[in-house]
Amino acid sequence: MEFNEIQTLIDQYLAKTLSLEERDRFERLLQQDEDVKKQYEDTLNMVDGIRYSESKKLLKKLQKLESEKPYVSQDTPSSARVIPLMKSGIAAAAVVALGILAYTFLMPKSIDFDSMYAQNYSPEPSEIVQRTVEDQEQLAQIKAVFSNHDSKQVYNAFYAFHNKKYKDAVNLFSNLISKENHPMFVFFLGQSHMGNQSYEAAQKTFDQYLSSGDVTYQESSIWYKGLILLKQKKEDELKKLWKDFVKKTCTNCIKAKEILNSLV
Amino acid sequence: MSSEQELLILLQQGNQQAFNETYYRFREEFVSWSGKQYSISNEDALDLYQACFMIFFQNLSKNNFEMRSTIKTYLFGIGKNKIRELKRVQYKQIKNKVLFLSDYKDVVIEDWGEKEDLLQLMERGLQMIDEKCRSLLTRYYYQGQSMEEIASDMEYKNSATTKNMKYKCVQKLRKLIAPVQ
Repeated sequence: MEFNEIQTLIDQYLAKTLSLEERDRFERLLQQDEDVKKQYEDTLNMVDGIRYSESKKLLKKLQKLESEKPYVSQDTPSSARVIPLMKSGIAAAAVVALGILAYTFLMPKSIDFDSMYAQNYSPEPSEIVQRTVEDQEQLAQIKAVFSNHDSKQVYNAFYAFHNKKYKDAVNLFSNLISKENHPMFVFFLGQSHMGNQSYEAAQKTFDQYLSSGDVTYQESSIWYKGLILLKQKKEDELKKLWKDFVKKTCTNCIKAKEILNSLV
Repeated sequence: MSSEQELLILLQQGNQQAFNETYYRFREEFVSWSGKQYSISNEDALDLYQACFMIFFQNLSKNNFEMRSTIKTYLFGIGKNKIRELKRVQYKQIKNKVLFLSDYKDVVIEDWGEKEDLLQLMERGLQMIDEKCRSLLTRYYYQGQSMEEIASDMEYKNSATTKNMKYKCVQKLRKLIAPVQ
């Protein structure tokens, strides 16, 4: 059987559009023909892969929404809610109508750099502090990696970054760098500046990291530098920076390629 | 047409503003309700709300889906089912699980465990094929669009051309991941 013929049968079987007789015949074929079986399994994996990918995208989107809103209290009175609930159909209709109007008339028709930035920016987590509680095991690990530093100070810097307290993280990483110009500190200082929306300082810090010769965060630094240029609407500089980057196969490189393609 | 129906249409069209608005609209009430009714902490309630919203949105994105209640009833209905389910298992693990949720009544959280490597490989493969192929396969296998609808949305000549294109895309993806598997 030809590939296309088998695929049609598989799709019909999955969509449950085969008659009972056809279904029985296909199930027998599945047991007898190795090629059909392989193509069927590949299709199931592909469908799961698509669901996996879409689920991850959606979850990421929701997590981003969550990170942009203050913590919810279960005791908050309804009048003090962050997003007041719609009390009437008229109000809801008005909001939808305003939304449509705003979308139609106020949104720029050209490239929305801010939105592209927001969709693509998410901080790269550190491997140093992954949990939100301090414990002796983590401090011991920090001590082993950064023997020249007070483990508690290193922990505090990564802890602040991990908890999105970027202003604190900038100060703490700057203090650490004043003692030792460790590339990891420099990279996370760059990220902290970025989280703090100090884009020029972030750019300079990523440049500092890239000139250090360390390669651990090289691709990430190029990615973030590019995102800053995107935010600043510096299209030509961005294209120049990512010219070679998009030829690589890393996840961010693929995303970068998509961004550049959408700028054309 | 009620405002809620308009909102649903905007959501189905992928309108980001409608998405954000809907997500935030029921968030606090959901957290408050699950805390008071089921003694669920804020943190877990927010995870739970995200999971419920994912189910709602994924179902809404499906081609043959028909909304038969208000968004709030739907979301809170899923919430009730999930709370019952999560009371049986440790709902703290929710963040590490993928939600393969096909049906409102058949709410399951599937642990991707052993299969995760393969799914990540598929995901990378999907990222590497061109946008048109990715969109076509997602529309057909995830959103359940027909060949005719895809042909119309993606401006292919007809459903036969779209079908041929789909074969090519499936083969492309298989070739990409075949040497690694």
